[in-house]
Amino acid sequence: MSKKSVGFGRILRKYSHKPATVRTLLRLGLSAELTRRRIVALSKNTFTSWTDYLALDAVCGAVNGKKTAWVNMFFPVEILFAFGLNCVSAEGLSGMFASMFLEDLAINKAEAFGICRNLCTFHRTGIGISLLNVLPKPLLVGTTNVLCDGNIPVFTTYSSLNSIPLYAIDVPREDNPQNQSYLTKQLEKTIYSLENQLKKRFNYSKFQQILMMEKESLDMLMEEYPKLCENPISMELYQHVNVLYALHLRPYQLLNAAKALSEERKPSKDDKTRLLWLHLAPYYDNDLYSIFGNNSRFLIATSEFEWDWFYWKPDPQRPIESLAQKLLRNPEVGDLSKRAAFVTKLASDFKVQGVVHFSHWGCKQSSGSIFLLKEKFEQLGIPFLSLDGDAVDHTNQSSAQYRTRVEAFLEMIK
Amino acid sequence: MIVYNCPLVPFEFFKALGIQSRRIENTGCEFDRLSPNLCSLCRRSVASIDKNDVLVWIDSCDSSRRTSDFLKLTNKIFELHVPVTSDEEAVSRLSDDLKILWRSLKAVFGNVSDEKLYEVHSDFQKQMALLEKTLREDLNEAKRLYEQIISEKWVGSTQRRGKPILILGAPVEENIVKIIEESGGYAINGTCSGPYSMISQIPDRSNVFKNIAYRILNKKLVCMRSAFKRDISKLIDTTKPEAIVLHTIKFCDFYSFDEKELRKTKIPFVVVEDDLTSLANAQMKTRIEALIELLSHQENGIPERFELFVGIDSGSTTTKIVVLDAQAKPLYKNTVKTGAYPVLTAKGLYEEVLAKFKVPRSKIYLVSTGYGRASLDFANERVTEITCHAKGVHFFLPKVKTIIDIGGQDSKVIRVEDGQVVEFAMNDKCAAGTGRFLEVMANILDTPLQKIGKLSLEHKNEVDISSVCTVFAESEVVSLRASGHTREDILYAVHKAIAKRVGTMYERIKGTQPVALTGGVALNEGLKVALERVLNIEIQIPPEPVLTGAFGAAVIGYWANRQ
Ligand code: SF4
Ligand code: SF4
Repeated sequence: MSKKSVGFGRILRKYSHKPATVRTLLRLGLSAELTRRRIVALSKNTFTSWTDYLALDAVCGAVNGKKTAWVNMFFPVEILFAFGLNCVSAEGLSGMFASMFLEDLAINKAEAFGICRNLCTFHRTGIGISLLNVLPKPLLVGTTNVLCDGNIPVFTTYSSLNSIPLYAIDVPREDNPQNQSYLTKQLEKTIYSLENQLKKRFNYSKFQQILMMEKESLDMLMEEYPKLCENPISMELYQHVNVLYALHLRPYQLLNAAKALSEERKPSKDDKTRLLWLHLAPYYDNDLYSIFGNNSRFLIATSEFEWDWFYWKPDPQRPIESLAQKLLRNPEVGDLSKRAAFVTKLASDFKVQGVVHFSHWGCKQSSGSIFLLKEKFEQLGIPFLSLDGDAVDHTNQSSAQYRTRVEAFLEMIK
Repeated sequence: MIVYNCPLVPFEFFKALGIQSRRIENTGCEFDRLSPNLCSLCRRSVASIDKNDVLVWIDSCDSSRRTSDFLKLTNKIFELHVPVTSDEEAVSRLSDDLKILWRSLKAVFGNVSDEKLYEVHSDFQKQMALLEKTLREDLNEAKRLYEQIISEKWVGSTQRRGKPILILGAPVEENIVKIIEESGGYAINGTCSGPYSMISQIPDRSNVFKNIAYRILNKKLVCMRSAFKRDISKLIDTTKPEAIVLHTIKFCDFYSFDEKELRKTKIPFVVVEDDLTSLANAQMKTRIEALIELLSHQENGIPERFELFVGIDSGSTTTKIVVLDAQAKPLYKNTVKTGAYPVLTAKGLYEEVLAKFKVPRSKIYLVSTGYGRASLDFANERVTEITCHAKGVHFFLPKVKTIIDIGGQDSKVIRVEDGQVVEFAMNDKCAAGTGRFLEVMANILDTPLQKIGKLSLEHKNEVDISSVCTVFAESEVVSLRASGHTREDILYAVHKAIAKRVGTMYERIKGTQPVALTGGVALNEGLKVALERVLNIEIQIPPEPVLTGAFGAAVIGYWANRQ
């Protein structure tokens, strides 16, 4: 995907002073790519071909521009889907620009607007994209205050730049009955306000159905979990990123992927060194892709956002409460001990020999107390690399540095 | 002792329990187990906590939460989730959590009745209302009240002397108040280390916990963590500042979002980035002084008549001196290396002038500028290089509207009207976009610095250096070299990279033509061309662009004398 995106980006850059042209080109280019991925998914019918398709779908809506809502990764999109809206991942849009090497256009715009250089580039690029005027205006934006607090001012900015409503959901950091009912009430209120804004009744049975479909797929994935632990699928690093977008933004369309997964039987012997990937990975073509590509002798067994729903079971009978639970049971929400327990479990389940934490520039919530996480893994005898870099801004890194640090780490493991 | 991290805490509890409390504070010593990319305040305040302190910790921001991951290991800590929303549900949720916190605190510090809490709370309410009133009337009284209510030190001016300057953004300490006062203003602290962050809507419910929750969630100036409720316009209306300082803390990203709101107000403002070091203090000083200078268009003339006007620009690499006569005719100029002793160097230059012109010291008006300006105590006046550049350029090119100054260690873009600074942006944080970048690159390419500009103009192909950081760019240049690009092509790319960095500042302050380029780098033809192409503008260069700051300093004396 990457080389092609970069080429496409180069063409778009030529027209960067003509937002309308960029908009048209983006629409044509992305629709073509989406169709291609769909055809590949239908013909190959593998887990990753489906997640590749869904991940692109989660940004494509933004360029087609009908009835879209920009949301952050943890917003309960199920509600918006039940309203017939198309959810677009704001972080995903930044990622898409990065994959075309165009994020600098957006970042410079945001900086000229006064946004500080230390803010996470997912956010900075998103604001820049809004300012570039190359995408149609969404109907609304929605965000939670998790995983990071930057979401609130950033989505407030999206909302004021486009003069559209913001739906902000406050997620407490502890899972208890009081917080569950608090969150449930907020979700109900959100539904109520959406009904008013969209002048449309909430389709409750569709909502239940969405959760039913989500449950069916997640149940299947859960059933595969033990097998995956024994026998992880090999994918490109960027495909891991795609998986997390598919899971968070298209949770009710996972059925094909889940089915494919349970049918995919893999040769049971692999002698690759297994690694656990933490936090995100760069979206632009870079050395890490080749170091950890399919042909590498290292295998990224899994990454944390592929399983952050692990402690949650969808309950279509009580859908709103259930979505509240989904947020509260996410082990990434809360203090370090929850996350540490979860990721060390993944490490031992998947029997990894090392952990790479991609410490994305400006992401304080993931890397602030990384020292403690490293200690935890070291106590378990699992080597841990905190790799500083930028998942979006390809100019804020040096490929050579990634390579040296990662290779030294890998040499240490083997 | 109770230690807390953020003034969203229920102070009423501490008072009712009769336990002393204080906010975490910057100790100057960094806790290096926290990631270096975490807020400087958090990193520098962990050391202010004793292991016997009981902590009441608000999950105010990512940095605060990650800090508590560590504090849990050493201290007794009660965490409180304060919702970012403030509707009925949020009030009830917080009120329930407050009840639990109240119980836990009582278990540690001894039982106190709820009636007592209610009493303390209504007192607190009354004092708050009083505080709001006295803030308008009597600052000394407001200070007394504030210190009594929350037992924290008042940070801000107590006298309305000079120009009212409002500070917004992340919490400030005494040092910024001092800078403002010394530059001729008085500081109104609108951050959460000041009184305005305490003022709330008054609740009137019978349940004390609900009341406190309501008070906490309905501050009149809401913190940026609830950005969609934040509205700075009311505070601006009541305090009527002539200028605003937006204080951001390194790796606290919240407050840069206020900048776009400030733009709407048309009040002059400056954004300072603080990492709580003395270097940051010096950088903030330059910006704040320049901001206040911008307000006082030569308000006070100089009483005596002078014969010579001297400007000294004490820069980080070179020190420059310019002498004008009573008709503003340049008589003398000189440039020397600053070296390790900037004050001695400047003194030496000045003494040469004294010896040469044989004019009594009392007939000479000396203005100092540049990084070292503050230490030149023999100067009559100290003015920031920002204002000096504006004056210096105006002297030669009166029509210029935007000045781009690229120095060895920093770069600035200044928008001027009639020689008066109206807005500026400054980069002194990273080498990219400064002369230093060119030096490094010239070095790697093994080309004398003086030649790189000319050579870059001989480029045949366009290549790009994408990295903005000097370290990364360095490795990019090395690999461009390795892949066979010519030195000329790479040099042009280097110049373009600087031009792009400077370009964002230019765009940020909405630069307009005509544009002048000053600073040592102005002599580099390649950079001029790169800037012209990247920004699509035409650039003029004043005579002796290296001396523009010193010229400006001398001109300031000359004009003041003529009034
Ligand atoms: S990378 Fe971190 S800071 Fe950036 S959006 Fe994600 S959680 Fe927030
Ligand atoms: S200054 Fe910013 S990052 Fe630091 S504690 Fe305060 S809100 Fe958090």
